[in-house]
Amino acid sequence: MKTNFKTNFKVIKTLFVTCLLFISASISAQTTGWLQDPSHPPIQLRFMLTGQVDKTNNTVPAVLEVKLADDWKTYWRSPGDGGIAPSIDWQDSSNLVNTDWQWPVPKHFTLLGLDTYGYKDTVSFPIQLQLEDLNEPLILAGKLTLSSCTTICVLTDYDINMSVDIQALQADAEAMFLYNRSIVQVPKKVADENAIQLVWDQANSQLQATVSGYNWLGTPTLLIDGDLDTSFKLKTTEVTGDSVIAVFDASSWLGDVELIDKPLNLTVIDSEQALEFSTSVIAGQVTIAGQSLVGIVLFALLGGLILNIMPCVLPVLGMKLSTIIDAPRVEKGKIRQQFLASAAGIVVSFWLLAAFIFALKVSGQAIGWGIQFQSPWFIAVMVVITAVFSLNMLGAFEFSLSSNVQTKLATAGDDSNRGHFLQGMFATLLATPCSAPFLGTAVAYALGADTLSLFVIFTALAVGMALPWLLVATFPSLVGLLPKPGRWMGSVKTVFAGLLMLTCLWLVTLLSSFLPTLVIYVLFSVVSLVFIGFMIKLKGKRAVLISVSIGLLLGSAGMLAASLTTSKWSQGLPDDLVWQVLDTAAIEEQVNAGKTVFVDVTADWCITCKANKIGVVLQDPVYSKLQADNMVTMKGDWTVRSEKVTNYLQNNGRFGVPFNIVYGPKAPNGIPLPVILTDDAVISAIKRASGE
Amino acid sequence: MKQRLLGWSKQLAIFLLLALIITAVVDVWRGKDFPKDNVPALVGMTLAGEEVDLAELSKDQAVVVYFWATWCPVCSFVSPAVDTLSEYYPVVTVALSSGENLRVKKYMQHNEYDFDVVNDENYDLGKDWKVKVTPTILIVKDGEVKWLTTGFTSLPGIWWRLMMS
Repeated sequence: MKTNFKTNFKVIKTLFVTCLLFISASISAQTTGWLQDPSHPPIQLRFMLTGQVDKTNNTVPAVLEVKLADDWKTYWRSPGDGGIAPSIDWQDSSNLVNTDWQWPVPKHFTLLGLDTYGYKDTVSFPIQLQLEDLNEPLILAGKLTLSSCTTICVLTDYDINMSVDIQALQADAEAMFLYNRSIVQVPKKVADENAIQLVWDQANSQLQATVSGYNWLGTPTLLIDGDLDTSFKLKTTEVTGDSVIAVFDASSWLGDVELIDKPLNLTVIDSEQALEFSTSVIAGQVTIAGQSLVGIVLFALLGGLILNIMPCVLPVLGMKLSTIIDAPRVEKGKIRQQFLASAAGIVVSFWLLAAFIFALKVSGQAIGWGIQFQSPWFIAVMVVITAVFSLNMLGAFEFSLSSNVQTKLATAGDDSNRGHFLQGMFATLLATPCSAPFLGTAVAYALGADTLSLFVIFTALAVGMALPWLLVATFPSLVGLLPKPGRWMGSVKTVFAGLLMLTCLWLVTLLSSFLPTLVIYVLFSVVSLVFIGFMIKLKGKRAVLISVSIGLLLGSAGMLAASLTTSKWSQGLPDDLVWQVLDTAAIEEQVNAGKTVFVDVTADWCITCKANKIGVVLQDPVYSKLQADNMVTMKGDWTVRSEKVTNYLQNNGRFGVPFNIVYGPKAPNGIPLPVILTDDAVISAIKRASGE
Repeated sequence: MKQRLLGWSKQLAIFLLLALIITAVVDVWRGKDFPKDNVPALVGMTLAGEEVDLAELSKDQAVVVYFWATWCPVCSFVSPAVDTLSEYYPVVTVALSSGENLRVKKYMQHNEYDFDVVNDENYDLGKDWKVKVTPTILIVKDGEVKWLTTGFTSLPGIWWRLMMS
């Protein structure tokens, strides 16, 4: 029954097409107009001929424009872990010999850990139609099948019926524009087979790709395709000079992967160009190891440990110290418990951070270290927390609590571990605006890795950061080495309270990206006045005077004060470097013009960035060097969310600030600088890049 | 303490009830264009070589009918739930436009799914059933569609729909 119907249908269709042919003798349409399936309105598409004719190859260019509403996506020729590529079955066409569908560079999407490649919003596919005879009319009768997905997938068929008199073709400006705009987005095919080597390592189920003889801007994106049943996941990329080596994990749900002698395509994309190489796969072994998880875990431990001495965490450590000194005769078991609680607080908050990053990753958002400081709400909450902690250390709350509550607190000794746990969490939150050596490498790896590795690395970071606390927990007698409490304790506590208050004020200044300046001044004054008011009430006027002067002295020496008000510092330090806005195209232009470009990606909330600026960038010899005629300085601001800056960081394999890199005629790919800058590192990189 | 526990469970119950009402309303809206009774026939051969007749199977019991595809990313999250359910309740699944039998079989093996699947390579069943979207889950009883939902659906989500029909 069904087959009968189908044949009947075919006959009708052929009749219909023949009719069309007759009609087309008078009108020759070179576009389908917008097509839309009423049951799937988010997709609109049209198929158009540009009107040009290539007489030597007997081809006419066409373009398929697809518009996708909202979050709908359609797919690349190799869609990855889901989706199907759109295709046209030219079943009943005549005078059509061949078609060549070209694919613009796809975007990478992730959904719950599944990687797909495709297009969102709008995409135009250039399609070359090869004809048998240019003097005959071209009859197109095809079925376009397009898959589109959000959290659901829809497969929709569209009929493409056109009859075109090639001789009467007219140039269609819109179609030509779309065709040309999309053709430049199609990766250029490179015929040179010597430029690329694809090696299949059966034992590890890995494919190693090497491309040599081409220069790339930063670390390019690499895609392997050509075998629809195998999924390739990029593991590591190494760029050295003009060669790129990348390793992919290959897997297939059809069983064992067999790639030897199969021709595969490698598409290499950087911000400037996209090239497509193809070659057959040969057997061999993967030679670059990439970074092993064990190595990264060690890095993470070290990075976490170093975080403790970064300026952000110091006030919290001080808080901890003061509680111990305050009560030296606490039994060992108790000390152990308290420190373990703090360590647990650190670990738990790192897990929360990892879960948060995982959630962002899954929903395909921009990710990075310390991005929560891009949210005004987060900063506001932190302002309140630091203020409360600071005032608490000052004794403001003990003072105002009724005796009834006081007794309750005193007897609730078992509950006090909660406070220590919170201290640990607090330390972690404050640590995030600081990047430390090793930390960047570990975080970058974690953000690019699978979910398990992400949690393993974040756990390692947490353990690293908790190491000092764990040390005390293991050897509680260490506490005995601290000086005996006395009257000086009060002063120490005041100092720590002051440090915390400075942190609070620093956080207030961060809000200046979101609130009017006047509001910031008011907030700043209110917080300061409340603090000073409490101090006068609790410690007396003399103490306030002494503390303020000590605070000022320390502050002018310490970095916290530096981050407090940059304007105050700029009087002391020259800051007349002309910073251009970060722009990858401009970098290349400048480098081509023989200039050396120093790029600083920074954020107001990043204390390490400030330290770099005050300690190295604005100091001689670097400062004078940067002012030289052949130098260009560029700044990427990450204080608030910026997709451009996030992309730039990720293209360079970084996920946090500070990030500094020097480009020059001798180093068009850039020389990345260490997280913590030194005069030597900057000067030698500039020399190497400029070829002095 | 006891009172607190009571309060908690009361809140939880209210929350669950709200969730049920909301999902039910959404289901009704999603299925508004879908024929509720006189469902098309679903007769075919599963990949394991067994005959399936939905009309027969759904007599006096609710059956989960799951339309999915190997190329549908979200199906990778719904399929494990359906697979678990299939151990305890009658489940019929249809793989839409997912290639030939061997491919679908290998896909099932790779993901260790054991549910019954009818391979609808040419989208014929999909067309009959007017299924436009994968994943789509229907609960069919006595030849009537009791529930219809699409997109992400969790194991408890399918289970309560099954229980309510």
